[in-house]
Amino acid sequence: MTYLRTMIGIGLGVAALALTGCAGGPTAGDQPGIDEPAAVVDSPTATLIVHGMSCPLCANNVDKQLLDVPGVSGVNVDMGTGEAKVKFMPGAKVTKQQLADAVDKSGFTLAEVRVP
Amino acid sequence: MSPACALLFRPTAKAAPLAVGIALLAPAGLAFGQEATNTPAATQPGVGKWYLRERVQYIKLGDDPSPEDRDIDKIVATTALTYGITRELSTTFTLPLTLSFEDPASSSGTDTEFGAGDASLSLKWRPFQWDLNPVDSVRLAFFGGVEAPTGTGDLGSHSWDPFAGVVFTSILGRHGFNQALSYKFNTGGDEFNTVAGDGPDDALRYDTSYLFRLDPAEYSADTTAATYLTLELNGLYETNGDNEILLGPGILYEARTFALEATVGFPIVQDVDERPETDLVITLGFRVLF
Repeated sequence: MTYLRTMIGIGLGVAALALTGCAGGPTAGDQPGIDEPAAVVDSPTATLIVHGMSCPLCANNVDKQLLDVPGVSGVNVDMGTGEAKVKFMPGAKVTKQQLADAVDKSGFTLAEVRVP
Repeated sequence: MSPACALLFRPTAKAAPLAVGIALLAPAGLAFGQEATNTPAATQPGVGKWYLRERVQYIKLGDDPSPEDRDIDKIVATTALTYGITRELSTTFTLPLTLSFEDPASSSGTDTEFGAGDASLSLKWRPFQWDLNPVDSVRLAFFGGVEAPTGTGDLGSHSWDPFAGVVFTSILGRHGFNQALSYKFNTGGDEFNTVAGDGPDDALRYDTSYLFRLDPAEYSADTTAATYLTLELNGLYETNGDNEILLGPGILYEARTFALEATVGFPIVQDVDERPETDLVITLGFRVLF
């Protein structure tokens, strides 16, 4: 019993330590498809291609995070295509980096930012 | 990331069938969006967001090995509140409230008890996430925490019990798979306890769930909700030799801000001598993201 506990404890500890150094997940700054991340989006709308939105409740995370970005007035997510269409307030100065950060905080993967 | 880690976790074309294979073959189960009722999952709310989950369970226990030979019915309402700390890390506080009815064979009366069970505080860390396309995703998370001795009377173990586990989630089109394995070090516990996995012996939980998205068949811009059929296998092995597996078919309705769920669990494997056997578990649940 004690031996079993010790072995399980060691196993869990080793697994956690081994993975600690592997936690470098994707960050918004190095998402593919985002050129000029610091540039202000010079358009009333932008379309983000987001991957991993596998369920409606999950996708709502993307809405919430994007709506928290100052200057964003509306978000419409198409779960089929992964498109999150973002509307900006008139005169808003939102950068691609801010949009990328919001998707990152939502826990999903940003594949592309399209500005018409 | 080191080369070794990259080899393990970097998404590659060769890794795809491997990941799918692991998802299909992993020995036991686990997720919040596509998360079944009684099986953990490698999902969590976004940074700074809260996820509240309420579950009400009716649990019928029988074949009590204690001298009282009790028939036991319980109604357990469990509140779980999860907060997204970072993209990969979340914390969850869980508190069960229990109303218990015990009918000892030796008397005609019913003993009723109401109170809190053991609260727990845990962390979930998701080091691996591979979002393959707009819908499909493969994720791995570790979790650990401690159960505090907040339970009153016979409703808690009266001890600090640490636990740790791992969960794997894969969502591929209309199909979701979750596998979880966790171990709880019970440092106290009553030999005549009535809470499965809460006695004086350690508890190994092994859970698997499958979710099939019934509707819609394909997501679109008009999708505001989804309905899933769920099937769970929830296993509990205790180091005293007791082993029990419950089969739980259920249904999950998930809208953009909330979800409703219902599951019926009944035993398909039962080798239990040290505590009452689980005859039936009916679960109704509600989840909300805010």
